[in-house]
Amino acid sequence: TDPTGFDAIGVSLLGNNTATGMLLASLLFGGLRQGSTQMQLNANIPVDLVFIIQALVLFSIASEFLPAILRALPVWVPFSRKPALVVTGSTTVAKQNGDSAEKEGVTVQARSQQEEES
Amino acid sequence: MLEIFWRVFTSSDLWAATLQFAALLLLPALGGVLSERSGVTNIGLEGMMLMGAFAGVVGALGTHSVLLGVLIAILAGALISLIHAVVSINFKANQVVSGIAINIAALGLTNYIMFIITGGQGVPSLPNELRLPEVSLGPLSTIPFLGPVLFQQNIIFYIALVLLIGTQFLLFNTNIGLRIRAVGEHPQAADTAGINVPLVRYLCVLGSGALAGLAGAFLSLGIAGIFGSNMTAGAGFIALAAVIFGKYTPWGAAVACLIFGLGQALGTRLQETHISPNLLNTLPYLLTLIALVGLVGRTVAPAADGVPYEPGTE
Repeated sequence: TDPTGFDAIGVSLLGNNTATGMLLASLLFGGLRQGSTQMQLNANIPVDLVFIIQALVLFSIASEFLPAILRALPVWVPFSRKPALVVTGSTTVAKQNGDSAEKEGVTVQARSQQEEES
Repeated sequence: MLEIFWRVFTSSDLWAATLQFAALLLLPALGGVLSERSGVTNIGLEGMMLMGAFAGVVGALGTHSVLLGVLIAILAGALISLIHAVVSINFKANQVVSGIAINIAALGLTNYIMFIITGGQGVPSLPNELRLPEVSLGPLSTIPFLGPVLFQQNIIFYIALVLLIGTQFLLFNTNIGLRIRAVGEHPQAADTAGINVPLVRYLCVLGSGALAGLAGAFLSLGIAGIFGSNMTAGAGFIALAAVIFGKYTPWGAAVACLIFGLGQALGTRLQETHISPNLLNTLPYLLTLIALVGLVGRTVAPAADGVPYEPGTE
């Protein structure tokens, strides 16, 4: 049976449900599948090794090893933490002098509070 | 045309093959029922069956004993299901993706290990003494039509019947079965009552892996006598369809396996009537879709099926 459908489920998971993520993930899985036959021709490596690698990739993404590793890194490493404050909306504040000029502002919330509400 | 149908349907050979296929599908289906009832979605039955088939052949050839080969197959199925259990229960991953990864990994692992062990050629076919024997139950097997059908089957067929009755009794007539079903329906309540939810789920997933490994041993040691690449060819998925069609009960899964086994056995025997075997191959999935839509009554999964258990959430 053609495995394309099953690979697609892995692609959507690896792409984290975003469009550009799925584009890159599909490039990865396509490269794995096609590269396996090329490796068979050039280096005599059986195709099935790439299946094992593909399964390991799926396991790692599904078990969320990357977020766990990022959480274990120290805070000062870039991209290891999500920012603490989250923008939740925009508002306008009227100025108090007679000009009645309006000023746009944003409301912020702590990320933990936002996740608690949602 | 009609006499072809009559001739095919009244031959005991068709019904013997039906029961054999049904037993082959019933074993992973029982594993699926066990796993789904405890709340872990197990798509990886196909991969566990394939590993069992491979391990059975390799074990039998290595130890020159059928019994040890079957035991090694059961162990291999259980070990692969252990990976699924750890990823689904401990790491709380998406269980569908874990099952699919198990299928891909099993396909790659069996072919790769076969490549390494045999140095490029396939596994040799098994000599007769290393195959699972057919058992004929004495004078009962001489009954004209039913004899060869019911009383002259492979030994695993009778083991599958015993396991069917055992699983039905276990799930619906014992305390252990009540705990399993409670963990599948509402794990928070079961945890409050003192049931060790992860342990129950682990044992059920390991049980489903062992049953699928036994089915794989039946396929490679009993029916085929050889191991080929991807030899299960979707039987694990048909077993999963039987579980859903049978409303997640052992008897329902058994009836579904009978129907699907009949479709499989008919596929090769209706050549003269020009009915394509592909049409009969769609029968399991078509029936499962009909069952899910609700035309033959609702089939509802256990309430907490597929949801990782987080202690403390409502």
